Order: sequence, then structure tokens, then C-alpha cells
Amino acid sequence: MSSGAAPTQLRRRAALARLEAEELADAVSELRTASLSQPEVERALERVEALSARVQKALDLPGGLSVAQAAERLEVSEPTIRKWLAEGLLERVEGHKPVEVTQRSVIEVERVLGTVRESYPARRWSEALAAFLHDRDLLGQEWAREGVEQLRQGELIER
Amino acid sequence: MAGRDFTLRATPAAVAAIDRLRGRARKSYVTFEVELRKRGCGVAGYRLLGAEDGGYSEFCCKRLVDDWRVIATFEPGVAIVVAVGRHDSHTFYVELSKTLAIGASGQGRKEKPACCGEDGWPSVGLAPAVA
Repeated sequence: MSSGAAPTQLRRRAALARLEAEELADAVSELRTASLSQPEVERALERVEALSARVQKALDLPGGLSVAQAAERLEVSEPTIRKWLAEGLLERVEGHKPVEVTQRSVIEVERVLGTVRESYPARRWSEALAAFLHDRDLLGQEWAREGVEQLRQGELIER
Repeated sequence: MAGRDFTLRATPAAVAAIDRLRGRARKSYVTFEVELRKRGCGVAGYRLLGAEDGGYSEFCCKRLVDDWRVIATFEPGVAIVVAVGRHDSHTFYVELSKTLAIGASGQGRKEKPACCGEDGWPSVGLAPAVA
């Protein structure tokens, strides 16, 4: 088994994670209550954070998402996922065959796609993603980075 | 900006790059700088997306000639030329369409968010958004 964990162990961890997830759902539901005071909101948020950490710990297994799972989540084809892995847009779990994709990289790409879709006036998400990658590349040029760094340091000359 | 030009500042790196410009690139930059003083974000091209999360960055990009680009930002009443350099966007988009399977990007981008934005950013309160 590629993850290296025995099936029984996996089932136990999954059961524990489901328990935590149930509690997490309760905590979120509580947060939706409009009448909460600020201290109550703070306490609920602390509870959500603690639960989130416990869920992550319960699911702290070396396995990533399959290419098919990543494709479904990001709403692209499996060949696209493989190309994105090859180009470093997504990260693969080292040493796992068949190929697995780290959850973190899927979340990051999903977040970028979501934000770019909001800020970039393109009908097609692929155009928005291309625009994001283009601008990231432009701002990553050495001449651009040097200028931005000097701006941050307040090194400016009157023209 | 009615009646008063923008104060213009530049980073040392941008100043050095401007000094090295020659020919059409130099001529284009000189024209751009004159307009930048007068109209601020209205002539500063399009708003760049942030490298971290894809939201709007504080920077705008103006294409001069060929693959020469100017990156600028703004403070109230002040236009700042952050960097000047070359970036081959066409080749980037073509490569992107091949390597990342983003087929729609091969021809470059069709739509760009205006530098000023709808409310006149980055020179809010000082200059109206110029289309």
C-alpha cells in the first residue's frame, strides 16, 4: 500500500477524523448564530481552530490526492493536472506511485483560482489563471523585484 | 488631475534603466513620463494581479514599445516609477499554453483591469478614473 499504513489503522484514523468533523460542523453552525456576543464568537473560533488542528492530526497520513481527485476538485482534466504537476503549479507526494498530489498545493491553486476569478474580468477561468501567472512572472523578473524592493525601502528619487 | 501635475518619483533601479533606454524605447518612455505627470493612473496601463493570491496588486504595468514594460504605483498626488525592463509577454503566453495546458492563453489576454480602477484608485480623491 503506497501510504504505508495498515487498513485497520486507516479505518481508525478515518473514524476519529469523522468524529472531529462532526464536532467541527457543530462549531460552525454555532458561529452562524446571529446573537453571539464578541467573546462568544472568539471562543467559537478558538474551538474551530482546535478542532481543525485535531482533524489534521487525525488525517496526518502520507497519502495525497489521486490525479482524478485533484482534477475533479479543480474542475480540470487529468492531463491538465499532470501538466501542472510537471510545471510545479501543483506538488506531488514524493515517492508515491501512482502519482499523488499534495492537498496543500490543491488548496493553494484553488484559492488562487477563486481570487483571480473575482479580480480578473475574464469569462474563462483559464484566461484568469494565465493572467495571474503572467503577472507573477512579470513581477518576478529581476529588474522588477529590484525596483519593488527599493520601493519597500523607501529609496526614491525625485524626477 | 485638474490644474496640478503629479509629483513624479522613481526607484534608483528604474532611473538607471531609464538612462539606458535608447531609440524608440527611450522616445516612448519620455512621452509616457510626460503623460504620467499629467494624468497619473489614467495612462499607467493595467493593474497587475498580486503574486501571492491573485487579488489586485498595488502595481500597474504600461507597455512602451516591443517588450519594454514600466511598472508604476501611486500615492496621493504622487506617481512612482518602480521598475523599467523587458518582458516578452507573447512568448510567455505561448509557452504557457503549451506547458500548463491553458489553451485559452495562447493568444495573450483579451481583458485587463484598468490601472485606475472604477473609483480612481490609486489616486483616489485626486484624479478621476480615466478610461
